[in-house]
Amino acid sequence: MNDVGLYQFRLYVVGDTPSGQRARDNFKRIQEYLLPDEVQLEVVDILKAPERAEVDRIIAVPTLVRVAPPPAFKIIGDLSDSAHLRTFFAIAEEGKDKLSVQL
Amino acid sequence: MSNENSKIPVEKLGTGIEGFDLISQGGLPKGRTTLITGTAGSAKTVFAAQFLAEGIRKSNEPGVFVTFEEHPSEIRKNLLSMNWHIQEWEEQNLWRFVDASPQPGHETIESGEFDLGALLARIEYAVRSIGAQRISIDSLGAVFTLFNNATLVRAELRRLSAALKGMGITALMTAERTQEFGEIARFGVEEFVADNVIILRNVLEAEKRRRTIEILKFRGTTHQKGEYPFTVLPDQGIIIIPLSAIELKQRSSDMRVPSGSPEMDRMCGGGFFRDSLILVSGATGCGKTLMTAEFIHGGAKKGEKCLLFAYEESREQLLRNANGWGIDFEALERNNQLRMVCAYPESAGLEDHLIAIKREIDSFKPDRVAVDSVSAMERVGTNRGFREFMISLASFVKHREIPGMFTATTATLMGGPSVTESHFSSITDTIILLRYVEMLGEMRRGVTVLKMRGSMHEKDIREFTIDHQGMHIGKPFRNIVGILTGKPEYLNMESMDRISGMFQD
Repeated sequence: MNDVGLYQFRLYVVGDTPSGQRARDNFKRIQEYLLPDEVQLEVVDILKAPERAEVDRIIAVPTLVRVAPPPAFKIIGDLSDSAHLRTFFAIAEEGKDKLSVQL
Repeated sequence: MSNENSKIPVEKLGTGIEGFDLISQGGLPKGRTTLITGTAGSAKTVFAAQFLAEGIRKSNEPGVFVTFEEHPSEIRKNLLSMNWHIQEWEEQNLWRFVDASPQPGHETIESGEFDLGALLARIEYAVRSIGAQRISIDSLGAVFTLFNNATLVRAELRRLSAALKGMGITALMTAERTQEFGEIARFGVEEFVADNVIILRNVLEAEKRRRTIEILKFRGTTHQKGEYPFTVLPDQGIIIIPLSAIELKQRSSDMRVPSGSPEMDRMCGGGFFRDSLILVSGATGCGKTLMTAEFIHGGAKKGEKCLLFAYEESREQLLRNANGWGIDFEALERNNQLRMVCAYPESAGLEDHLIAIKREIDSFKPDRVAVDSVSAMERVGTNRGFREFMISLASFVKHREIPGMFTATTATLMGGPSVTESHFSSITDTIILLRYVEMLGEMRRGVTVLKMRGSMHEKDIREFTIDHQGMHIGKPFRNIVGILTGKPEYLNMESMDRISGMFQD
């Protein structure tokens, strides 16, 4: 699970909502263009596992948490603001060349 | 609201916070949300936590604390100083945190649409898991700082408020204000989250901090109006002093108790009433402390327990002075007939003094109380604060149905009114004046009973002397006028005759 280079994400949602679905779709696109192949995404439904949200102190949904590699960060929202995200991921991955990728 | 609902009066939930249930006439509106606002340092968080703590301690009602600012570990630690063992309560499923405090080192960005459904789900889960009946949310202002979109936060808080109502839980939400007077809270939260608003103030007045609480509105139910002073004590939390909510319902008694001086008993028509307040007013050094010592001695001789609060002299000084009058305070202490509480007035605020006095009275259960002097307290607070202190103290002692002697030092040597007298004279039952009388180049002392409710009393101004056996009240001054105004004047025999002739039938 904790292999070097493995990317782990956790997506918090509340039940089955349109914004939760949009977040999943948008995450897939990000994964395709901006992230390496080995990416794990865990979807946590807070209605089913409220204690999980307690650990990550989640108050808004959807929220995407990058669990590994450090540093941890959170993205709140359905991940639809692609321009904003592109910049953020590119800087976070220190891959400035990825900035030119169109989502 | 349907017609049927509007017929049911708003029920209240007793908070257990001392004094609050009196000024709110029963507590917080049950099943509703109350907003509590105040500036930084106005004790909002303490109030919010105490609402839960008292629920657990007094009625075993579980509570949920939602925190947006401080981490639960900080809250646990901070409130341990109040003697609230939150961790134990958490283990007993009586207290649950919903931690929404910011995570240090966790960068958070926003991208696209979101809502606060997670918070709602967690609150509902926490409430359900322990069967909570009370919830505190601290604070709403912090929610706004977490997100860029204030409109969205506002809509979500409205949803939260509705959800809480649906759960039937009694909720308390805190919010910040930037000024003591002005808008109720930042972001206008009171407009949409709460039917009930409480304001905490911490005003700097004449270099002294004065905390007050005001219930601004309770929709559909009653409460006491205006500001009430409160204090925050290390091991008790918030204590509100319900000044004008105090009821005048003490019983009255015809039973007399000795004043400690047989002559004074005669002047008062047979002693003080058992449940009366006695104000002894006089200039410095004219015998007020002696009168309290006699008062204590008189009680002790009857086997009563006396409590003395001394704000002008230390224990050693008091013992020495009493010895000088032939009264052995130390022996009385050993017999558990006397307890002396000596404190420097400036050592605490007026509210804290008042609560200390109440606590001493409750624990020692004296048969009589003396305070020497209450006017020393004038220095500590503002004029208004002092007035509230006096009224509250007087009413507390009266409710115990024990006699209380309070001394007041006049501003000038020859008498004249003091602040204490003007605030206190109408609630005292008996007023005794001690005055210096200048006679032929000599200072003598005079004593008179100015007022004695419900009893005949002597109208003379009598001379008294002090020696190693205490106080001796002698004959009335006959050929002298103007003692009370501080300008004694002799009358010759001729004018004496004329004046006495004026009032003859």
